[in-house]
Amino acid sequence: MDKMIKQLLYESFDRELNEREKIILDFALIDSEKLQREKENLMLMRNKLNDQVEPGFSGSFVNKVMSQVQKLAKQEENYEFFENVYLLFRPVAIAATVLIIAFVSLNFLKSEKISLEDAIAVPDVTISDAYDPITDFSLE
Amino acid sequence: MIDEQILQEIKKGNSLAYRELVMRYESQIASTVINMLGKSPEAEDIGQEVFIRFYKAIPGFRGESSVGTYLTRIAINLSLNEIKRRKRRKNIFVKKELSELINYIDENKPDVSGDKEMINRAIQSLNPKFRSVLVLRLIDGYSTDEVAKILKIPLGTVLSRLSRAQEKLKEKLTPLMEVSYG
Repeated sequence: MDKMIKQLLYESFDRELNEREKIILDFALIDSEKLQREKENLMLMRNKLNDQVEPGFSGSFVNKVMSQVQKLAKQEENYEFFENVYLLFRPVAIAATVLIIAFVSLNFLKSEKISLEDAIAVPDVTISDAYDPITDFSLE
Repeated sequence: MIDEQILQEIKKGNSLAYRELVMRYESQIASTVINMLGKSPEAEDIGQEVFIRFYKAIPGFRGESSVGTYLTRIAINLSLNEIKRRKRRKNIFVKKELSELINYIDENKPDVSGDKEMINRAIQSLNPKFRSVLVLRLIDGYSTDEVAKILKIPLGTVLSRLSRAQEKLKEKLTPLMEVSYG
């Protein structure tokens, strides 16, 4: 059997042959019983292959997939939470830094001195200023 | 619910909607994977992996191809990877002569489960590049254009591989054809 004709026969099932190819194949089929048998065999085999469709995997397949999907969804939720925390951290940290700098600068401007107490606006008092036992007892 | 609606639901965070999609495409993916790998525990694992990978890919899924085609593409790629892995394993653990003997025994096992099993075994004996074209076109029912897109090969290559695959398969299934005629 001519190799080219056989190729045409096989391809005729999977693509539209042009007019010339159709005529060549039709004449060859009329002319050769072997080619006719080949065509019948091919059709039979293709029909049998159509029956190879599987109904599915095991009965628990969908549940197995879904339990893995649920796990993934949970992981994603956790990931989303931490991602939000991470994303929120930067603006909050920047805003806090700006506020601290503003607060410290304002305190320095007010006191016109540079010291730790002035920076955080703590009055410069000694322990005795804050707690005078004589005054406190006499009040009682 | 159509596929797009299910995907929207999943994107909104309703992962349970995915069940519908798995049920809808289980048979299609089972046909692809089982005909590529044979009925085996690995085939089911690959089937699960197909759906898990698709689930992960949903946020980036733009719908350029249909859900079925996308799933089939994943299924074919994973099946081809599994075939390569099996071959590597075989090469590591089994000497060539012994491997040929095992192949011979596998191919000539007596038929105990009927036509379907025999055809499946014949498909398994084909070279993966012929097997994938044959499974997609003749079992999954994709057009030759779709097969070309799924496998990322030219249309002419699909047609020539398809012819070769059918020729080889017909040789292997001759006894079955004779029984059917007789």
